[in-house]
Amino acid sequence: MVGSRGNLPPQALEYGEIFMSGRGQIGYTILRILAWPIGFLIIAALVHLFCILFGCATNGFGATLRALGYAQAPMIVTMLSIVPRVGPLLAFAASAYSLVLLVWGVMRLQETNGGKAAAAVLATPVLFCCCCCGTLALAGSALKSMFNAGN
Amino acid sequence: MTTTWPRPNRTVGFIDALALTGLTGLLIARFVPVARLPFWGCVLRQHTGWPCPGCGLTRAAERVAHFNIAGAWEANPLGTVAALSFVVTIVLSLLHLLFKMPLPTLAPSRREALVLRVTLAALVVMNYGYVILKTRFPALL
Repeated sequence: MVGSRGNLPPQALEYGEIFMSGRGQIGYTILRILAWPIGFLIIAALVHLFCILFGCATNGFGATLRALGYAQAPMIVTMLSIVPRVGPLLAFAASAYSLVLLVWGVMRLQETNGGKAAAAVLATPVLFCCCCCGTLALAGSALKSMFNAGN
Repeated sequence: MTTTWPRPNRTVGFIDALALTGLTGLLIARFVPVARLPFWGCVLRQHTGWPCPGCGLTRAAERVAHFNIAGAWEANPLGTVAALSFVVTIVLSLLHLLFKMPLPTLAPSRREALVLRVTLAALVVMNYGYVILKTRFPALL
């Protein structure tokens, strides 16, 4: 994928260069540290909103917040994402496992069944996919570039 | 619907978390020109010409953040309602955190939750219909 960067639009390349620079990385790290607690509350709010919609919010917002907190444990593995080749795979596996733990957590703490818990938890990423078409576009163009490079 | 009214408090709860979500989104929509980012856009619309169910949400949030409610409604009606609901939660959260205003805990019954889901699904479908008409067949509106 990195080898096919030439297929990306110049503006995207420019943003990529800024992001990959030392200052960009330091800024991103600081932003992540500041944004993590905010993001945590935001995701908890969205998951709980869907818990209410799917009728599995018996024990209130605190239970959803705790479930999300417990499910964050595997995310420590995402620090390994800087390791070439294996790192991103490990990070992806950790994120997927975190999602599974969240479903289990919501199921236990909200005293509901697996189907409702899974629906409430997975509705949030689906919502993000609808709202953040830009992310999809980025992923799509990266995939397209990758396929073009393979041809 | 079971409604529980707590005693006056400043405990951070669901409404406060929703308010934080709305505040973050509206501040980004106000100060970051998201729609002008080079990679921002709908892949489905770019490749097929047909909008996705989320098309117009960025514009709706941006216009609500700039107090252009009519423009936001034109871009995505349900997105406008959602953005305005977030504004309401921000106000409620401020009152709760500043003046200890108690916020009720709402717990819908199984039947009410089902009605809520069906209504929401119907609203999403209607909204998508409007977005399709607006994008593909503007003469019909």
